[in-house]
This record gives sequence, C-alpha cells and structure tokens, in this order.
Amino acid sequence: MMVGPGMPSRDRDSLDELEAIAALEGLGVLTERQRALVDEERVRDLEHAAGALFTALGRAKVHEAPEDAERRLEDLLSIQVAADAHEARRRGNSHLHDTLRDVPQRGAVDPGAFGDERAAPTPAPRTEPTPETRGLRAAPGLLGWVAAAALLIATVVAYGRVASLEQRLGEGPAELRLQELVATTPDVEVLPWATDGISGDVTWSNTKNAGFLRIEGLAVNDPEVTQYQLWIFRGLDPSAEAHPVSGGVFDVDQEGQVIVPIDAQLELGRAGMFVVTVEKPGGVMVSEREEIVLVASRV
Amino acid sequence: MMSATDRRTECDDALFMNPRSAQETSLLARVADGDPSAVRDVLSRYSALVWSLSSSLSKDPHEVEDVVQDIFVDVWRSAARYDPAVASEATFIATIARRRVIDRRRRAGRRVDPEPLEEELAPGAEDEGLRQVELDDEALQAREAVAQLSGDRRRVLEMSVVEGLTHREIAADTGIPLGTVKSHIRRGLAEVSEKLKARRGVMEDRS
Repeated sequence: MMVGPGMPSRDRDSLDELEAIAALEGLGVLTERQRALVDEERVRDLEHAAGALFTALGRAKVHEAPEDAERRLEDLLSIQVAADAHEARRRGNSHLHDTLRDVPQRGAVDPGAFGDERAAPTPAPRTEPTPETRGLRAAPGLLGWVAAAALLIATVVAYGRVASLEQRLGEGPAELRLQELVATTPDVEVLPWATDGISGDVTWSNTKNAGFLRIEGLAVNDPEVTQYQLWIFRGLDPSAEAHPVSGGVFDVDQEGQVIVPIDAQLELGRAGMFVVTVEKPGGVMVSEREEIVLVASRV
Repeated sequence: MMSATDRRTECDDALFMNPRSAQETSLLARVADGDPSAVRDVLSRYSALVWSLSSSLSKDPHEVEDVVQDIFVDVWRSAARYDPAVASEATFIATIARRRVIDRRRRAGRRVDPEPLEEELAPGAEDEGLRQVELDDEALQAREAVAQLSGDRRRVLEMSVVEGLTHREIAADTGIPLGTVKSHIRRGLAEVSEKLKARRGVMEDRS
C-alpha cells in the first residue's frame, strides 16, 4: 500500500478503513504492519467521534444510579485512590502527581491496551529494613497488614471512620481476637479450606462483618514481589461476581500456621465464598484471578 | 409552573454539558493527580451519563452495576491520558464506556433493540430542556451530524458504533453489500469526526 499525499484513492480508502476499525475495536486488532501505516492521532479522533455518537444515540433515556449502587461505586473508587497513593508511596515517590504523569501519553503506548486491566504491576523497590520496620517484619504477616492498614486508613479517612479503624488495629494478637470472636458471636461459621495440602479454615460472622483466616501449608511469599489477597464473594458462583469484596492483603512469612484477621472493605450482608489469590504488592482493585491458591465455600 | 429549563436535571447536565466548563473544572486532571475529593465530584457529574449508557446492556441491575464499576475503574486508570484539546471529558468517558459495554454485550452474545435509536432521531423527539444546550454539546453535535447522513449510512453507523455489530453481521442483517457497509462506517465516522473537530476549532476561536 502506498502511503502519503499522492497515494491512490483505493489505498486511501483501505487506510481509512483500517483507521476506522482501530477506532472502533482498538489498535490491538491491527497487525504490526497495519499499525505502522495508520495515523494514531486520527484513530484517536475517530474513537472520540464514536464515543460522542454512543452518547448521542446509545441511550434510550436518562437513568439514575440506584442509591446503594452509587455508594458501592464511591467506596470502590475511594479504595482505588487510596491504592494508587499507597502504590506511589511504595515506590518511594512522595509525589503522586509525578508518578501518575509518568504514564506514557496515548499514542506513545499500545492504545490497544486502553483501559486494559492486565497491565503488568510495577515491582516495588526492595527496601532494607529499618530499626522500626525490622521488628514488624519479624512478626507473622504483620508487615502486609501494616501495608493494608495504610491503604485502609487512606480509604476510611474519606468516610470519617478513623476511630473504629484505630480500635481494630489496636486489639491484641490475632489468635486471642479469633477466640473472642468465636466465644461472643452467635452466628460465627467455620469453613474449611477446600485445597489439597492446605489445612485451616475461615471463621466468619455475617453480623459483625468480620472474621479470621487460619492457614497452614501456604508457601512463604516475598512481600516485595507478591502478596496474598483475600476476596469475599456474596454468592457461591465466582463467575457471576465480577467485583467481590477485597478482604485485604497478607503475607505468609513463616512455616506453620498463620492467623490473619479479615478486613472486609465493604459491608457484605452475607458471605458465600472466600478465595485467596496471589497479587502484586499492595493488592489490586480487580483480580485477574490468574493464581487462585485457596478456596473456602459454604458448599 | 416549572419551565423546561428548570426541569433539566443533573442527569441532563451530565449528558449534555458544555465542554468548555468541563475543561475549566478539569475533573479528570484531579483524578490523575490522585485527589480523593474528585471521587464524589466525578460521580456527581458523570454517574448518570455512565449509568444511562450502560443501561442498554441488560435488564439485570447487577450486570449494569458491574459494567459501570468497570468503566469508572478504567476512567481512573486512563485519566492521565485525557487531553482536553481533543475531546470533552464526557466524550472521553463515553469512549471508555462504549468499549466496555460493547465488550460485555459481545461476550454475552446479546443484541440491542434498535427502536429507541430511531426514536432519538425522529423530528421533535428532543425535549425543550435538552435543546437549550445544543450548541455547546459534543454529543448533540454528533447527533446532528449523524442525522444528516443518508438513511442507510446512518443505520449502518449505529449498528457498528452503538450496537457493536461486525461488518458481516451488519451486511447479513441489512442486505447491504459488505464493501458498502465498510464504506458507510468509515465515511460516516469520518464525517462525524470532522464536524466535531470543526466545532472544537470554533470554540477555541471564541475563547
């Protein structure tokens, strides 16, 4: 195909067609050779034209968000903001603005990945333990929970619930709190892990929206490379729930049993299934569910 | 008695807002900067837009809620790429919404009912409140542009852009030859794009 001002009209039509396809389907659908031919700025303009058309034609009438759905959405986005800030801090960059602006401009990156959730996580820099953090690292799972707590604090501040979070963080060893939960909560349930080679269970109370994981046999993780993340599903079919509630990230840094408090970031009502995945440090908003290591379910 | 202008709701404002005001407030820049207070402001301004665009996906409110969440998470991840010189914030968000809704629709193997789209284009179908902001709105500009296309071209463009049908599906549905379908899509989209660009030029000259 000849490209340029003097190109034959047939070639111009072919190029226009490629650009329209890229605008509607994403540049990712083009071959490398096709992609080298198209004008990405023009593709972007066509893509926005499609967006404007979608607004103009793609709605039958104005729909209001249901109030409870709006609240869940606000929670989700607040957690996203907190997670971004947390990730920026993990990278040792105190200027979130600069971190976010490091995102390559559209056109310089693969626009096929526009809105792609599969972007590879950026590994956090390895930091040497300071006298302050060394003690934390020695405690089972604590460093991961400090990270999770930082994330939660940022989230909770927005909702004025700092006091209750501080109380939760200051409540003694997990094992004692687990015993207390079992002794004082009538609706507490215990669901064993349905995973070969892993022993332990999930202790959960729907009324308190709280619980604990007991795990033995899960591989020790390096918290600067990966962390475990708990997901709580309301139902029993994970494929039907795109957005389970995160129960926080945690680490397994010793052999033997670990007890991890569940930090459900939203009210669940009723929990049906608990799933642990391996994620990047700090956890993710939406898991790709590529590495599921533990499952406990009501059935 | 309330006037037509009074009856305009915040939803209408979100759907048909003035792009210049969107640029001035620069909500997506605040999102990109990690400003926690942007969450409520973005939802206040764009939640109705996204819910409205997503509502055609399914009658199941949970499914609609899922795609709305996906869209807003994408908005947060993509906000740093927003350029006010090339689109309004509402159009940028609608572009993300379009991708997500069509992806979901395709995965579910669903089609949309085309009837409401025809109604949208019918003379007199617009209400007074929306007409008042016509000149300042990219979506309305796009609607005007597409209304000027020939019947076949307009329908083919709707089937492709809004319903997400493939070239072959459109050819099979309409009986229009495949080559003509492709031509309608590329020319129709280009015409709308050119009109939006021309309008942006006029707005820049005014400002």
